Amino acid sequence: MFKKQKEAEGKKEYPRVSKNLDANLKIFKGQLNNCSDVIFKPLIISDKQAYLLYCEGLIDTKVLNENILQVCFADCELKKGELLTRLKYRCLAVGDVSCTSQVKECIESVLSGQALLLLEGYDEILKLEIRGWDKRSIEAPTTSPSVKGPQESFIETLQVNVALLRRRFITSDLKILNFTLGERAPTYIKICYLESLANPKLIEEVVRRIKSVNIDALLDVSYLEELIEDEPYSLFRTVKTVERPDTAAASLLEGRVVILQDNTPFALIAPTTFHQFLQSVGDYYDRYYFGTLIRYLRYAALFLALYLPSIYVAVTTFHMEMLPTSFMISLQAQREGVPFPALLEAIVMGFAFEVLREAGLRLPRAVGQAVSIVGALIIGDAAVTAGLASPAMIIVTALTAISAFTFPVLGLNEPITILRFLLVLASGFAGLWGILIFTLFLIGHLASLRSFGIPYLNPLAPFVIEDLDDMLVRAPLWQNKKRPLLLAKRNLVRIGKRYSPYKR
Amino acid sequence: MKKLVIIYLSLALVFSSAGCWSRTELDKITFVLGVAIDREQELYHITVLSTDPTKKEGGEQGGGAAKYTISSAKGKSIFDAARNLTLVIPRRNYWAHCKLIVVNADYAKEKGIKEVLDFFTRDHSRRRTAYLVVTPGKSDDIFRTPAVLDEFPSREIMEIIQQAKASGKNIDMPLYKFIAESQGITGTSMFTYVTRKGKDKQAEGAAIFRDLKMIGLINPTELRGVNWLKGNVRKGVVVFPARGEGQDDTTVELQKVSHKLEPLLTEEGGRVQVKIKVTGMLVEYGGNEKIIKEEALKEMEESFSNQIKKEILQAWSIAQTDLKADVFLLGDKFGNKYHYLLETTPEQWLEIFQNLELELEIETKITSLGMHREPVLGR
Repeated sequence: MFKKQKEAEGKKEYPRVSKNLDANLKIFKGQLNNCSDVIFKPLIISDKQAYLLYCEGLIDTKVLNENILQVCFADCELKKGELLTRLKYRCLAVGDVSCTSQVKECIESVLSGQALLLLEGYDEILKLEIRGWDKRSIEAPTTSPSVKGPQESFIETLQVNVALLRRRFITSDLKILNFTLGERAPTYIKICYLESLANPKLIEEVVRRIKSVNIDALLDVSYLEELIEDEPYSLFRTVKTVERPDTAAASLLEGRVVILQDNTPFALIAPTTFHQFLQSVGDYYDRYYFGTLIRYLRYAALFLALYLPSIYVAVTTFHMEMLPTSFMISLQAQREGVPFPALLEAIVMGFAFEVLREAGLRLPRAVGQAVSIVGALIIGDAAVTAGLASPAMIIVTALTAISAFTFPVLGLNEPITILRFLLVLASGFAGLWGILIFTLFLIGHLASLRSFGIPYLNPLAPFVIEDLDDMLVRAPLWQNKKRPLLLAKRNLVRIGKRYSPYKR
Repeated sequence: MKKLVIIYLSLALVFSSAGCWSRTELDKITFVLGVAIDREQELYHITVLSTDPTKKEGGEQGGGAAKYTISSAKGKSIFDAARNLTLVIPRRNYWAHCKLIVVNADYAKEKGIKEVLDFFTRDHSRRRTAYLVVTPGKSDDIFRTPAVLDEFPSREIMEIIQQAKASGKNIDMPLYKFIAESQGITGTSMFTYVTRKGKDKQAEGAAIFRDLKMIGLINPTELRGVNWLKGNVRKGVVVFPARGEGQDDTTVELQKVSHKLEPLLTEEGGRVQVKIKVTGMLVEYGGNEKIIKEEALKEMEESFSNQIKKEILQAWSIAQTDLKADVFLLGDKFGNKYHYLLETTPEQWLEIFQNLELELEIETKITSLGMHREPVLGR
């Protein structure tokens, strides 16, 4: 259906620009009917009737006033010779000026913030690049903050985001491809990659997928993510979202592709592997010993966040012989008087925590904190005093929740939360055996995932021993000699041979 | 479709092998921590000490009520009696945490502990790492005296047993080890003998078993003699007279003990050569000499060796003449060296054992004299 519609629109004929200003004006007024934000400003430039078209709010008024209007009113220079050429090459002090006679192109550019200059007697229209609108300034990252390292994050303006990347690669090796997606609301997309590193087949695949997107609008980069990812039904994200330009740059250097979208302060990174969700930029900015330690801490936290409630349920209802006697006695004393089975207790407490978390997220910041603290304290304490939950269960829930907050980037919390509940159910039905079977399926599923052709569990499955230096440990930079094997086969060596600080 | 079938089949697998029916909530069970077994008038009397989670900490009676409860039942077999406990207590007994079995000495002598061992090793929920102790009098009395420095009397005894290494006068003998030793050539093994003196429970040597029947007792000093010979003494203190005679007035704490045992069979009969090297630290000195003098130290070391020798020889004679049991498990040592001996029955071995000779070589060294080198009033 979409295809037909698209074809119909492609065939829609735009009238051509003529030398008659009034006729041209009529065309534009017809096309931009009821677009009250487009300003038609009549001018007279060296005795010739002219019109300046621009979109309110999308242009830089200072440039408009000083570099265009003032020039147009100061006739003197313009009298000599061909007016359009002189305007184009000599008089208008604007960075990018071009001519076109396509009405469609003109309309697109005026709506994206360029100004059009229509001149009486010419069948070409001048496009003036004077885009400029109010934008958020570059701020410190909020979803993946780090103590050291650059404190910049992407913002909603595409040009700025590209510039943030370009400032890190002052080389022509960084290629940026342009795309426009969205039937109803065209949105600019940019694919960035390093030509010398990225696999051409990968670029081809990314371009193919992006081109095949057929949707009315892309309001956030997550729309794009959902449309181009490999496994639409999986719980896991196979494309990572980042807000830090330094993370994006590091990904480029591993041969990955960064996809930027207008109006989104996030970038996509493809291909993505599972362990990328457990890496923080901070690991690379700290000493490598500490970075490694923190990384293991995070792996442990992942385990806790996923398994702790289900192990608690399994041990207290099926495997009471597994814990040391005194531990078990203490657990038993705590559970005494709790009317619910451990399974229900775990689910209810987990549910209560998710409610608190969601509430804290939605409420205004000042209230949000108060609500979560009061809610957590009151519910936790009251549940224990009222005998509805055991203190051990409260500890388990709290530890699980805290562990889930250690994930350094967005995207891992969602699957883990869902899986945690499923695991609790599995352990409630079949104890550790249920957990085991569930885990088996989970690992099987993870191993079956691919992100743009790269196995999701790479470098663990398939096992790539050379790449473990960035997974099992955070190897020192002078030891981390090679880029990921599956990604940057063409140019593997990351650091000069025999270079290390002590072998100079 | 294929995936759905796979998921369905695997779920079927999960639920056919384990499931909700084997679940128990913690508030439906009670953990059995210790069990005392007696036999009276052809019936087994079994008393279990189990957790009572309804008694919270810091209860109304000041220090808080005991967190355990004691209940007993009778039955034709041990398991029968254990099942009859359900007539007495409202919760299911959970046995996996049962770490202590108390057996009455008379029962152990007359009937042997075969049934007890079978009960504890056949069922999957009971553990071979449990300890068995023998006690005179009614076995459940051990549970009925409150524990010292522990919440549960059963755990108190367990902890005492696990400290065996510190003195050398006790043994750390879980069920599995006992069974392994009893299966050897000697057929002999032992369990800790626990008595009750007022409020205290005390490990008083060991009860010696042969063919799973108790045949006698040895006191703690004799038990250490046995441990010396078996090479089980690692720590502990030895008290001896400083000048080789008179009162035991000097104490040495053992630091390092090395032990070597060599079984030998010759034409004339069997011989056991034992070499023990001990280094110790002087902790109490009762003599008046300036110990810095080499002769005084030599004298002391000699007396130290003699004391150890005395302990071992005492145990040796008791084992050979009084008990008539190879408590040193020398049978297994000989069997390891002379394989044809592996065929011997416990009775045959006992004959050989009673004619064995002991060759002792003890070397002691006092390496540290402590903070002074002289008696307190060193004049």
